[in-house]
Amino acid sequence: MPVYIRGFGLTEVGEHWNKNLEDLAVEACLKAIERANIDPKEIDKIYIANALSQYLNRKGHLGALIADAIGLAGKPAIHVEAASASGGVAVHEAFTDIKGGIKRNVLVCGVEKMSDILPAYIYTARALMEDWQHLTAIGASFEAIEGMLLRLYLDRYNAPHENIMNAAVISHKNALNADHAQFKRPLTIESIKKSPYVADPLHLFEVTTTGDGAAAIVLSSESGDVEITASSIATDKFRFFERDDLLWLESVYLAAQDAYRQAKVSHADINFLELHDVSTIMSVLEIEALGLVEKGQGHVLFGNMIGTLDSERPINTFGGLKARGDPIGATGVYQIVEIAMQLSGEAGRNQLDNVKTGLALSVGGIGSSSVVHILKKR
Amino acid sequence: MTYEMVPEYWRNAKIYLHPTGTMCKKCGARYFPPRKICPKCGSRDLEEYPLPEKGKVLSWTVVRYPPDMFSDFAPYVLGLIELDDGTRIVAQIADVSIDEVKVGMRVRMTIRRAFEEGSSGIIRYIYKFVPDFEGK
Repeated sequence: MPVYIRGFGLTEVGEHWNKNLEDLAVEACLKAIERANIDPKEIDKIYIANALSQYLNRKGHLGALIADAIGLAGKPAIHVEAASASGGVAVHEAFTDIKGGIKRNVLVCGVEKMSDILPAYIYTARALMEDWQHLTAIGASFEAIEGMLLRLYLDRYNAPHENIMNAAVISHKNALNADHAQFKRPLTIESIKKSPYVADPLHLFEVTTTGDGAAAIVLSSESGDVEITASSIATDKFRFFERDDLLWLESVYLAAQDAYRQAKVSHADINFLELHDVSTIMSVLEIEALGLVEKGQGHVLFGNMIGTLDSERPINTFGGLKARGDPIGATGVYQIVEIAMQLSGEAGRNQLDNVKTGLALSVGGIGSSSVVHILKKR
Repeated sequence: MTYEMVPEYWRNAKIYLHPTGTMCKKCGARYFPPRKICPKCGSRDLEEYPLPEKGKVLSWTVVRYPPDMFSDFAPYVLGLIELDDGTRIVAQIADVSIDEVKVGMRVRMTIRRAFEEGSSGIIRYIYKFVPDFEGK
């Protein structure tokens, strides 16, 4: 069965002091259901993507919790957790249900509520995406791993750090007019350099920060303007330090190659991308593993400011994780909603012209899980 | 907040206090952390061995925004280290200033205090590395 995006909705990413996790999820779900023009009773299954609620909000069992909150108690509902790839994995599960003909209409909602937590605990929470015993308990934050990878990259490829910083500059530029973005303001190389180090040589303004938000889609075999033509997950060795090439994201490569095969396209056919730009260095490693550029050349692409909305192939068309914001378990669903907005002509001031095919990459941790989706305008 | 209760810390002592690797008896591949199945050849015949205590720094960073239990210690140097048998490990590098750390520098393992589990919990110790001035 074909898999269409029948409806989508999202909340602005930011500090929602007057809303809790359920409030955010309900808001996004109701928007998606309304846009899908569907009787909620026709929804056959619900997936809730969330990475950190058990630690951040002392809430678990989100499948039943959110299903009930949107008035659909009784329906099958499942909480999906795969660190920062939770959103992508949840969309994949819904895709599989419909593709296989098991369900007709499936609701996917990604949600994360982060802003109530003090920053020190956010760094602990992010570290939960990696291995406790061999990294977190030793003193390694998530950002520390990224910092070590950045140093390796700079040394091995003799790359100017400014080229890599541009990945964040591009994302911020693309968010200037994005209504739902957390940071609708420009970022310059100078301001990145002035920001403190989070984990040398990685600066604080090269990584994502805390944000609350929820995004939802209704997938359907029956109707929709946009088709999901490929959905693929791959994994890698869980501890980054065990990988043969420390600067190669094998899970991204495997998921992308499988997705290109499913959709019968090559990377050259992709008109625009939503990357998992959790940090500048991860953006660089991702475009290399996706096959957009040769290994070691990712920094050149960003150095040339490729990726802005007026580029031949825009990247992060509403600002990506860096500027739209990174509510961790929800970001993978935000990406799918944003591609659907572009392909159905509802991207407002960020609308791209003549785009037919978009790709979303959702990455869990330092690439232990990766999910690639390819979406096409019908 | 307590992170590891005594039984878990006791179980993990093999990691924190006596870092242990495994070697595949069939294909010779070495692993840290220890594995039960060799991903290279599929063998389940692996034996544990104590990791070498010396190695060199492949990359390093300064943790300035640490997980909360290390808040009192930041900033501290963290290194990605290749041990002399080719396995890799991530650890704090102590007794060194930020200006002195270099990629390629020789380091050796030591056991140091990590953090305390609250005011009444255990005092945790973990492996850290220090500069090895004696070379290989």
